Amino acid sequence: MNAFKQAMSLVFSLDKELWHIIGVTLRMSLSSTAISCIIGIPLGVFLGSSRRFRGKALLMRILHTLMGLPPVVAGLLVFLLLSHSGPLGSLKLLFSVEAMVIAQCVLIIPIVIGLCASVIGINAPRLLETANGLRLPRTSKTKLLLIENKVPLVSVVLTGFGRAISEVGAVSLVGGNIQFKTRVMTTAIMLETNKGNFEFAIALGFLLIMIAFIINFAASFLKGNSYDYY
Amino acid sequence: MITINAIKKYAGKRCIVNIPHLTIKENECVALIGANGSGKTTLLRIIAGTIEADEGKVTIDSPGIHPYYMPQISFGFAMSVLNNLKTVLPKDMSKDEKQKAISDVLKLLDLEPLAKKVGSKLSGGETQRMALARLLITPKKLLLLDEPSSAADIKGIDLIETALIEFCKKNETTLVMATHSPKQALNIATRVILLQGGEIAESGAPEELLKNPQTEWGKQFMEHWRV
Ligand SMILES: Nc1ncnc2c1ncn2[C@@H]1O[C@H](COP(=O)(O)OP(=O)(O)O)[C@@H](O)[C@H]1O
Ligand SMILES: [Mg+2]
Repeated sequence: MNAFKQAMSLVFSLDKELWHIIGVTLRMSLSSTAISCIIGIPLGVFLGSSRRFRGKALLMRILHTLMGLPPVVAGLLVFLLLSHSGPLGSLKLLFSVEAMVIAQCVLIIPIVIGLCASVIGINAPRLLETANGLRLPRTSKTKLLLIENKVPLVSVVLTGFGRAISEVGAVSLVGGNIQFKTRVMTTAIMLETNKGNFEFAIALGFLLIMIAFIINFAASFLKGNSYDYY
Repeated sequence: MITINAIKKYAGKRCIVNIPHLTIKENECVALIGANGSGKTTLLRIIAGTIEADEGKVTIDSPGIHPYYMPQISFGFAMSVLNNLKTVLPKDMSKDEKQKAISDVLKLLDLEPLAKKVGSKLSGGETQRMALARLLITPKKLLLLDEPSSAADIKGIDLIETALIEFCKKNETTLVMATHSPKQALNIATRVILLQGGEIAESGAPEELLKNPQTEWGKQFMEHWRV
């Protein structure tokens, strides 16, 4: 209980390192969520609304495998890619926030594509039969698919964000958990707990949950009210 | 207008549509009738081009004419009925023209009371009237309708039938519609085609076919098809 009190005083004392960590965490997870959605949602909408084509089943199987990719494996891949002797070593991105964002995108893009495709696939056949019968142009059809699935798509984005903000393995591998540079909430909690520095860890854990709560709350406004009653 | 040549459609090994030859002329109003599973929906989908036949060909040989199709279960888009109608209007229409088209079709199908309701939350019959309104809002030369009034109440059926007759006359529209209503076939159609097991069992003028079916299956079917 004493540790909890100290944790709260850390939260409200605007501890410099604490706020830096939160800043990096938000920058990283918002960037990787945004990039993953910009790439993943169009692909997911395409996959979910397209009819069977050659290779689609194989593609979906690969996608579902990638959705369960262990974070450390994604981290290792990006690490090798960005390391000194790796193919992208000249970019000198290893142990930077950018590297962490790249690793997270490797993890999150398949999740966004896969979930988006399943969500869209539920009512796409019926919606498209009607829309094609009306000979609507492709842009209208895409717009209708997005409007129709607004609520579940917000959930897809939130799932991506949840993955980004809670992930440890990949970001500690490629970010290196460097103080005042690439240390994020999850890697900091790991470190401080290992050091026995529980107040700091609890403060971070508390804030992590608060952030998740606030973002979900904001999203429920975005989803809007719906009058479904069954 | 429409020429169908040797089309076959399979579901696995079972042939669900098999039509060696069929032509539908301009301005004809064809009622497709037949028991559940006789292939009405599948045939309409093939003509509409939303699915392809496994063999044979459908040609629509009038230049610039495309089929418009209302599925058996129409989708109400998740926006107001008014916006459902706006969504289907062509971009190059002027604001006044759009306004007029919308208010005309709202009146035609008595949709004014529903204008502000959400399209995806209408009842079955309401959805059908809205779906038809989305098609009738601008002139069309070729309409394919799959049981357009199957969920409508008696007044709704009247509205739909009157609207269709008026629309087809005004725009010289060719119409192919599936129906389970003898009255509707007599009311609207200039020809009735009876399907059985994906094949054309009989085809002819509505009164004639309904009163004097020639085939054994036709006689059996018409037993239950009294007006
Ligand atoms: N996608 C499909 N897969 C398998 N069977 C189908 C499919 N579509 C239709 N069928 C079968 O084809 C037959 C004709 O169906 P349909 O054209 O919907 O009949 P109708 O509209 O006259 O009631 C039915 O027996 C149905 O089960
Ligand atoms: Mg049917």
